[in-house]
Amino acid sequence: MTTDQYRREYAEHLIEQCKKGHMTRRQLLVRASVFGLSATVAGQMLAACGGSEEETTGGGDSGMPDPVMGGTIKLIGPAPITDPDPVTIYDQGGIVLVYQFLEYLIDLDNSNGLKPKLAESWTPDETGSVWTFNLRQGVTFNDGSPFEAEDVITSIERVLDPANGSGALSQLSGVLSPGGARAVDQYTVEFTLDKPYADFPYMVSSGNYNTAILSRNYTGDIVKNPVGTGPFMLTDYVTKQKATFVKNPSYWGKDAEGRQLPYLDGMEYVMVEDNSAQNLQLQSGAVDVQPQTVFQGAQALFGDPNLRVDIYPGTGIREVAFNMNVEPWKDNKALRQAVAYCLDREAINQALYDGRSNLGYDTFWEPTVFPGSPASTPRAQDYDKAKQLLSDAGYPDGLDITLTHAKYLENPQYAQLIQDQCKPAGINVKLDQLSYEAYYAGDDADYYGTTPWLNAPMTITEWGSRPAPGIFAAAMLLPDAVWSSSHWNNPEWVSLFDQYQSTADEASRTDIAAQLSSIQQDDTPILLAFYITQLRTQKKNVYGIQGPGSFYCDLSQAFMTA
Amino acid sequence: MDVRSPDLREPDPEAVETLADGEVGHQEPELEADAAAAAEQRRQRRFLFTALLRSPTFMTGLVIVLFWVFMGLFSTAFTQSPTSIDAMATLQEPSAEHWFGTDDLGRDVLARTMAGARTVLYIAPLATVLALLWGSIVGLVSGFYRGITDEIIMRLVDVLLALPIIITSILILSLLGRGMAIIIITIGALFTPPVSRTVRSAVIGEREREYVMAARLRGERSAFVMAREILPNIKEPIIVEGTIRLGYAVFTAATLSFLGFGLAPPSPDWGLTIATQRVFLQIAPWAVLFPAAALASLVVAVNLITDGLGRVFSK
Repeated sequence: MTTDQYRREYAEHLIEQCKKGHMTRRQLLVRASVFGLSATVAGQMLAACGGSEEETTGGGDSGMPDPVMGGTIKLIGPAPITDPDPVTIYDQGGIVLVYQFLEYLIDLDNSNGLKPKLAESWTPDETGSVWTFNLRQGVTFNDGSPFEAEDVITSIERVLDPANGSGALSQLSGVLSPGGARAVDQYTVEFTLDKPYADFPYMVSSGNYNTAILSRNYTGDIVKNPVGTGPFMLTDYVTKQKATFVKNPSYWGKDAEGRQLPYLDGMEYVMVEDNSAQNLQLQSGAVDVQPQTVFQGAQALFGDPNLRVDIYPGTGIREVAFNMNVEPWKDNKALRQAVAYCLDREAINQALYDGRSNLGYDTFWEPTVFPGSPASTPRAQDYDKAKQLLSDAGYPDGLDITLTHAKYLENPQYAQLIQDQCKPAGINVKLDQLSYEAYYAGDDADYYGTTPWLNAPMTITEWGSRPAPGIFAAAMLLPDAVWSSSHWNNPEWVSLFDQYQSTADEASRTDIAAQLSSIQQDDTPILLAFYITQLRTQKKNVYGIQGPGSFYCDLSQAFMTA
Repeated sequence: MDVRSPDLREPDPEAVETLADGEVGHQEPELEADAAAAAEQRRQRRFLFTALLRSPTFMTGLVIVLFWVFMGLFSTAFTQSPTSIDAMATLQEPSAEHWFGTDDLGRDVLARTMAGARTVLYIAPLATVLALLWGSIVGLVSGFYRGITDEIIMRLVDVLLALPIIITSILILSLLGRGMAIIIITIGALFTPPVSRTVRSAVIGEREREYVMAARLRGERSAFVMAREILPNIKEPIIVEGTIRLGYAVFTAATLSFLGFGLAPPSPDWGLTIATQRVFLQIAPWAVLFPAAALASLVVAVNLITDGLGRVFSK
């Protein structure tokens, strides 16, 4: 079977799934984009499916005026924890900054579908284990050097090298090994995977944000040597204060009318840790955009006549992890389940997000968040069950546990809600609140073995949106994931997950996902009480910011009217 | 010469009492003198008590402080639980059900404001007592021995006084971790230098007095002279200094909590509450204003007590 035949058959398979009602139109578009089917083909597939247009998701730029060229936009957000390194970044400040002057092969759209960026198209072979990416031609780095296949290969090899400590390695481990990427020609890269993997394009998209494409000559210290292909160029970086960018005059991007992007002359990122201080700066007009608005404390922004708060269907989570390397969580599923049954998820959603977020039931395969996922079993608060489980776990008289979290975002409130809701079952939760810096600190010699967020017995860790459940799962539930706070190791689940990654057939994927979801929920290595709706706030005269909420803030088509 | 002879005694009644405590083999004139001194002491106490009762400044402060002590101890008996969360009733404005409204987790602000007094009224007085204890020891030693001992101690005190209280507290708490005991010890330690200065000044004024010389002549140990002869005679400045430090301790404890170096959630501690609720100031000002007003009232009350005591002692 040729690749074209395979793609055609896959398209027919998606149409069939959609017609049978096993897949929504939105999900069809997402899956088509993952398989590298063009927008034109996807449109034809939608037409073949029939039915009506679904509600589109995304920002609130309704009635957008014609773009205005020029101007400098000011963003406000937290400072990167350390000076940003694209290979290892994991925090909001670092990601927002890197996103302005570096690019990925593939970008995410507002529905977590994929859209071409530095790769114009991508196709799998009929086994799904060899993916060929056709690169965009005529792109240059802002130092004048051309963007070619060699840059892609060195960028990917860099994150595959364990010595570099990249979080992307967790995603790519077991999927792509060093040497798996090769240049077919100057503008074609072929990835030969360790196994078939239907979601591989996500791995080299902005959803796996350490895979930013760097120049083949990159030797580290992106702040001193900010070479990228993005719409802006970093001109000044003052640690913990601000970063200044000017437009990249040789940027390859054009808008739909063929106008040169970006529209803006420049942008500035003002670093302010305190959310209320950020909000006040927004309200005073000192800054224009807050890429991620934390709901707690932002209520005043909703009523501000000068601001617009865009609401995005995000998939960000607050992972409550039970560290299974230590007591009392080690080999004690009943105890973990007992805590899960103490939670009143609706009340938590109401208190933290005014009921705007989607509920989660301790599994990543949540159909309300990731359409097409198998239905999960809701977990309502049930103290009788919790007490029984507690007794089964060997703690009939209750127990004392410690929950470690950072004083960041809504984590302190979430921790107090957990504490309050566990108490009636006899679980006394002691809160260990650390500063943001202390929570993510660790010894240089053994960061992953010493940092509290990966080693404390029970933790709350904030995760930004991910485009697919498998991305979340690979990042924190596989035994060799460097960001695993639970240190869960369930061989049956690992084996199934391997199958899931390899399977392209949607019906089979759904069956496997149902098993994965069931095992994850039953074993309860982590609590997932909600998936957060993302907020982004900007002045009303700011338009055209692309990308889902959360950290991805594409300003290439942003502009400001008078 | 009989060093315990009445005509050599310091007229101060407490000094008389102190000397009388240590003597062996009383004689009749001494007994009469002791009785007179005790009567004088009682008279002075009555005068002090009456003067304080008649001092509007002192009484206003005292009533407010006693109100917060009472609230800190017993408020949970007649308010809702300060930590009880109602996720469906967050940031509600003051109403018949919640007189001070609710906070971000639906907790009753009245209950939290009243209970919030508890932590600060543990921390501040205990820290002040520690500061007075350590400061008195340092000040007594320094002022009593003078010379090189005084020089060394006072230069060290100068160095410690130059350290900003809050920043040094943060440094210590960062190193030692948090917890009520550590906060108390930290504040107590940092308030020791100013107390020692005050005590030293008072000791220098007393060390040349006759009763001190008398005690030395009869061969009393230095520690005894400092603790039993001098200390009782400098209690007024120590008390006033203590009330000044108490006000500062209240404020310092609240500041450390506000900065995140004090108690952890869900404590209703005022400083912590102000810090966590200030982000809602625009939409739910009651969640911040009531604990802030409570804190301010306690600091003002302690200062009123200080002023009242100072005026009465100066008489």
